[in-house]
Amino acid sequence: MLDEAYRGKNVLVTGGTGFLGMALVEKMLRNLPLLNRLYLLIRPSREKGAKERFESDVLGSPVFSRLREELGSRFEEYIADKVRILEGDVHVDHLGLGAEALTELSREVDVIVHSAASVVFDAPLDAAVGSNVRGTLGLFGLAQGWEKKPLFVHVSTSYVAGTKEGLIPEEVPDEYSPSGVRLDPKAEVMYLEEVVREVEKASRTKELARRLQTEARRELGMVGEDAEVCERAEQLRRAWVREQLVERGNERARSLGWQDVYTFTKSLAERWMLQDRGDLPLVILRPAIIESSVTEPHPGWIQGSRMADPLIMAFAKGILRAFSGNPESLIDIVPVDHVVNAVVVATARGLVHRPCEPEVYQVASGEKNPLRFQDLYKHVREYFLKNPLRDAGGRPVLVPEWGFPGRRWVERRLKVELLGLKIAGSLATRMPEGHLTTDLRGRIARGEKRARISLYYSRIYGAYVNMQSTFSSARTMELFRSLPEEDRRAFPFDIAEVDWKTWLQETHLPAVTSKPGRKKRRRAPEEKVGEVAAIFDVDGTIVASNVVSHYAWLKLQELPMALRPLWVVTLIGRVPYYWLLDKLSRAHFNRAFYKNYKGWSPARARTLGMQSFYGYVLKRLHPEGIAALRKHKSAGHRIVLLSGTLDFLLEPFKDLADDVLTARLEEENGVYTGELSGAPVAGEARARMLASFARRTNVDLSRSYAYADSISDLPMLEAVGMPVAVNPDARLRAAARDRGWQIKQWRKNGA
Amino acid sequence: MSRPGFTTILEKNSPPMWFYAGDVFHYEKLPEGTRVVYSPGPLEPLPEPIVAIERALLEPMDMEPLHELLRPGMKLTIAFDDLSIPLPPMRRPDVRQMIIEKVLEKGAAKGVEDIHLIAALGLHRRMTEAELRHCLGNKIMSCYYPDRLYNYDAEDPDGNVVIGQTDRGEEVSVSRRVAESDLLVYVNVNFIPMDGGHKSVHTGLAPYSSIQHHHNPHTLKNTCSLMDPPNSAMHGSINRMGRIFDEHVKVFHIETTLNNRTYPSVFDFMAKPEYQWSTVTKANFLATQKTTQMMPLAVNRRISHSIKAPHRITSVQAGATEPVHAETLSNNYKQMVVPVEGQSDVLLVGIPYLGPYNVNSIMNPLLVYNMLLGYLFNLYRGKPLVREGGVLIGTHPMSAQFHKVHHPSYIDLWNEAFPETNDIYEIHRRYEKEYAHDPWYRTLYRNSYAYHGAHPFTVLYWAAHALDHLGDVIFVGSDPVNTSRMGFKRANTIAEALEMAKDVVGPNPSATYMHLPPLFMAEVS
Repeated sequence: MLDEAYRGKNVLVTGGTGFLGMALVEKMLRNLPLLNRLYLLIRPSREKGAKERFESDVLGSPVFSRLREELGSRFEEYIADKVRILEGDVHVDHLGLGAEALTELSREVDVIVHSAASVVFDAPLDAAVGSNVRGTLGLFGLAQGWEKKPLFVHVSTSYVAGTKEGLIPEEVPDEYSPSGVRLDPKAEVMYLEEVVREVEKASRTKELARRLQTEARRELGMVGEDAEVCERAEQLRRAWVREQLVERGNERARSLGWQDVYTFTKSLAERWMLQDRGDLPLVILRPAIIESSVTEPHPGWIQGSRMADPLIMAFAKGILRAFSGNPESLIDIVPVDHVVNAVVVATARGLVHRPCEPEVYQVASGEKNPLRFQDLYKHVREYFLKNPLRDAGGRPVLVPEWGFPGRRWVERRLKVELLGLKIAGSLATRMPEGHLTTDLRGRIARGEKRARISLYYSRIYGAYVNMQSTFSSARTMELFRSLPEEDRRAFPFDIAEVDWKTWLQETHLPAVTSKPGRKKRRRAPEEKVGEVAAIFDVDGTIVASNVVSHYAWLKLQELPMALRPLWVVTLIGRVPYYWLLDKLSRAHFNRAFYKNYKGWSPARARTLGMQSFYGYVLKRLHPEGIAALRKHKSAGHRIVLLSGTLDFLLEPFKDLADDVLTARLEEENGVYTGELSGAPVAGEARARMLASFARRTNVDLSRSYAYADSISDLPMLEAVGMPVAVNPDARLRAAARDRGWQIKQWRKNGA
Repeated sequence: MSRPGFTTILEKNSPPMWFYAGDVFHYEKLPEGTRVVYSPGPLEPLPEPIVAIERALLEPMDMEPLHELLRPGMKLTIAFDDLSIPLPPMRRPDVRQMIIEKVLEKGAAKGVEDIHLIAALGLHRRMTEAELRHCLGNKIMSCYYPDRLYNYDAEDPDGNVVIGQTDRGEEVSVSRRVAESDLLVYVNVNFIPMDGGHKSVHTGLAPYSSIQHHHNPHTLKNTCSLMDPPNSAMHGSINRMGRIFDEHVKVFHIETTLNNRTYPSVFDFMAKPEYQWSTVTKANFLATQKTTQMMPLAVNRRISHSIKAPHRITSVQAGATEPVHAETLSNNYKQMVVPVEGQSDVLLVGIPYLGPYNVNSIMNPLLVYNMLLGYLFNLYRGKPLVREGGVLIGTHPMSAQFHKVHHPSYIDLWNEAFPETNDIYEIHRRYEKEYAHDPWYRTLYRNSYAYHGAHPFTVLYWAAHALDHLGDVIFVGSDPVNTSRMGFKRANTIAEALEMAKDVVGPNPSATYMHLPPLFMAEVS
C-alpha cells in the first residue's frame, strides 16, 4: 500500500499556492491519511500574510470542496492537525525563516517537494534566474545540512530538453546545451547576473534619461506637473529595463538551444543541483504542459490561465487570425491530476528506496498518447463553432480558419501589417483633432493591438508548436505499472487512457471558457469615500442644450427687443459653418465659437450665467440625469462635471459637484479675449484631463462612472470602468453597442 | 374710528355664509346657533406716511436718531422683509420702498458709500427682479441692483458666519455681510403679530444651521400661539439669539403696521357681513362664485395672484428692536384683535388661495395644511377659539398641484414621505437632514427660485401646536386621496362635516365660524 510509505513522514512543499501545488496538497491530505505533517512554505502577499493566503486562496479554492464535503465539520480540525504554515520565501536566505523554524525543519522533514517556480515564458532575466535557479539552489543547499537528509523531489519541466530533436529520454542532462555548447551552470548564472547589472547601468545613462523625460512630458501633455512627469519617467525607465532583460534573457536562451528563459533557467537549476548534490537523494519530475484535471478533485478543475489557454482564448476571440506551427508537431499536454499522482508515487518510491543516483521521470503524453497540433486545432475549432464566445455586444464570435503557414511567413506578414499601421498611425497624429480622427485612430489602435498580440504569441509559443522531439515517458509508465491494482485506482496517471477529444470538448474547454470562477477573482477592496467618481458631461447629457443655443440665450438678454430677430437671423446664417466644424472636430469648433465672447466682461458673464440657470438651463434639464447624479452623491461618490462649456455657465452647478473641470476664457484688461486659456475640454484632452485629475485626487477610474452623449466623449468614456452613453449620437451609440456599454435615454423636463 | 370686530349668532333665517376655498368660494347655510366672528373694519391710515417715517427716524425709541448713526466710510446694510408679507402684496408704492428711499436719502446726506440692500428671505425662494422692483421701485433698483441689492443666500458657504451660541446651545449664525456691518437697518412690514422683532434677523438672514433650533416640531408644539410672542417657544428661542446678535451688530429696526384693507372694492362682498349685503352685492358674489367655478384653475389662479391689496400704513416706529416691537405689537393688535366669549367645540374657517409661501405661485397640499393648522388655527391670543379636543373644519379643494420651480422639495416630500407616514415627528426624524443638505435643492435654492430643501418641513411643523390641541380636522370639498394622504377626514358640505364632528365632540356641538378675510385674531375670554 502506497500510503504506508508515508507513515509518520513529514513533507515540506513549496509552491503550495500554485496550480500544481494546490492540487498536490489536496491530494496528499485526502489520500495519504498516514502522513504525519505537511509543511507549507508560503510567501506573504502584499495584502495577506501566509496564513491568510493559505486560508483564503488555498482552502477557499474549489479544489478543496471535495475534501471539505468528505470531512464535514472535521475539516478545519483535520487541516489544523496536518498542516503547518511557514511564512517565508524560497528567494530569501534561509527561506526567510527564523532559527526555531529552521531547526524544526531540519529535525522533522523527510521529503521536500519543490514545485515553486516562475512559469513565465517572457520573464525578465533577473526574475527568472532568481526564482528558478537561485531559489531552488538555496533550498537545495539548506536541505543538505538538515538532520534527516530529506528526499528532494524537484518539479522541473519536460521542455528543459529545449530544441533537441527526436526521443528525449528520462535522464539527467549531459554537460552540453541543446545546441551542443559546453555549459557550466554556475559560470552561466554568474554571466547572466552580470548581464542584469549591465542593463541596469545602461538604463541610468544621461541620454536615455533625457529621452524618457521627453517622452513622459509628451505623454502627460500640458496637464502634467513636474512631480508627475518625474514619476512617469521612472516608470518608463523600469519598463525599459524590463524589456531589455526579457530580450537579453530570451536571446541567450535561444542561442544555447532553449525555447525561452523559462526552460533555460529550469534546466540550469537541474544542472546545478546535479553538480552540488552531495549525498542528498534526488528525484526530478518533468511534467509537460499541465492543464485541467481529468477526474480529480473534480473533472475540469483548473486555476488561472495555463500555458495553452491564452492561445486558445485568443483563437476563440478571433484575435489570432493566422498562426504558424507545424500541424504534425506534438503538443504535449498532461492533466494536472496525472502529474500530482506521479509526484505522490515517485515520492513514495523515493522514500522507500532512497535512490543513490538521481531519478528522472517525465510526465508527458507525446510518446504514449500523442496529441498533434492539427488535432488540437480541430477539436478546439469544432468546440467553438458549436459554442462560440460572445462579444461585448452579445454577438457570437466567428473563429478563424488556420492554414498552418510557416512561422516566418506569418511573422513577416504581421510585421508588414504593423509597419503599415504605424505609418497610418503617425499620419493620424498629424490630422486635425476630431471625431473622424478619433475613429480612425481607434481602428488603427485595434488593428495594431491585434497584430501585436499575434506576433507576441507567435514568438512566445512558436517554439512549442514546432517541436521536433518526443518526450519519453517509459520510466513513468513503468512506475505506474509497478503499483498494486488498488494504488493504480487511487493514483492513476496512465496517459494512454485519456481521450483527447472528449477531455478537450467536454472538460477542458468548458472549464476555461464558461466557468466564471476559473480565475479566482480578486475581491475588490472596500470602496473608500472619494475613491470612486461619477463623471458627468453637461451639455447634451444633464442638460439638453449646446454651446450655440446657450450663447444665443445670453446674447439675447443683452440686446434690445427690436434687434433680437435680426441678430438671430445672422446667427442662423453661421450655423452650417459651425455644424461642419463640429463634425470635423469638437476642439476646433470650441476654439472658433468661443471667439464670440470676445469683449464680454467676466462679471457680467457670471451674472448672465446665473440667470441662464433659471431662464435657460432648468427648462432643458434631464431630470433622470439629476436623479443619477444625486444617487451617486448619496452613495458617497465624488461628483465631477467635465464639460467643454465655459466656467461661468457652470457656476450654478458647483453645489452639485465636488469638482468642476471646464474650459476658461483668457482675460485681458478686464474683458475676455475670446481665446481659451488652455486646451479645449474635448476629445482626447478630456481623457487626459480626467487622468491627471484622477492622479491628483486618488480617484480610481477603473471603478468610476462616466456619462456622456457624443462621440467626442469617447476617450473620456473609455477611461473609466463604468461608462454610460446618454442619448448618444449615432456613432457613439454604435461604439457603445460594440463595447457592451450601458445606453440610456434621458428626456427633457416635462417632456 | 373704524368698526370693531364683532360676533353674531346665526338665526333660522340668517343668510348662507361664504367661505374661501382656495381659488373658489364655498357658500352654505350654517345651522341655527352657529357663532360667526367678523373682523374689525380697516383702521384709519396715517394721513401722511412719509412724514410719519421721517418722524420715526428722527425720534427713534431707545436709540440715537438714524442720521447720527451714519458716517462716511461705514458699512451699512439695509435688510427688508421678502414678498411673503403683506398678503396680498400691496399696491405700489410698497411700504418698503417708502422707508428705504428715506434711509438711503439720509445715508447719501451723510456720505455713506458702502451700502448693501438684502432681501431677508431666509429659506424662502429668491425674489425675481420684477418682484424686487415691485417692493422697492425703479429708483432703488437702477442704483443698486444686482451688485449691491440682492437676495440673501443661506447656502453661500462664505456668506454666513457663526457669531455665538445661546445658553441653551442654539447656534447663532447670520449673513456675513450683516455681521460685518457697522449698522443694520431692518425694514419690517408687520402684517401679523408673528412677524418682526428679533425674528426678522434670525429667520430672514440666518442659515438652516441656526433656523433649525426654533423651526422644529418640538419647539412649535409649545408655541401657543404663533401670534402671541410672549407665549411662544419659537419666539423665546429667537429672542435668546437676538440678544446675542445685539452684542455684535447695532440694529436700527424700523417696523410698520398696515390696516386690513385687503381687497379692491370690486370684491365688496368681502368687506361686509352677509346680512348687510344688498341685492347687487349678492349678485356680485354669486357671479364671482360662478365664474371661478367655471374657469380653469390656472386662469383663476392668474387672476387672484394679480390682485394687489390697497393696504395702508397705520403706524411706523423705529429704534431698538425690543421696544419698537412692543409698540408694533400693540398697534397690530389694535387692528386685529376681536374679543370673543368662550371657546367652542367646532371651529369653521375658509382657507384662502394665498399664503406667505405661494405668492405668485401655487398653494399645494402641504401649504394648505400649513395655512389651516399653522396660520389660521394660531390666530388667537390666550386660548384657542376651539376647545382642546375640539374639531377644526376648513374648506379647500386640496388638489395635488405643485409649482415645479418654487417647490421642488415639496413635490419630493409629498411623494416620498407622505405615502409612508404623516406624522410630523417621524418626518422630521427620517427626512429633514437629507432634504436640508440635498445638493440639488441647494442648487435650485441658490440659482433658481426654489424654496430651500428644509422649507417644506418647517411648514409642516407650524401645525405642531394645532395637532396637539385638536381632536380632529375635517376638510370640506377636498380631494379624497390627497386628504387621506395627509391623514385627515373629508366631507362634501359643512353640514356633513358637522355631523362627523359629533363623533368627536358629542351630539350638540357649539360651532364658531371665523369669517375671513380680512385676517383677525380672537382673544378668547
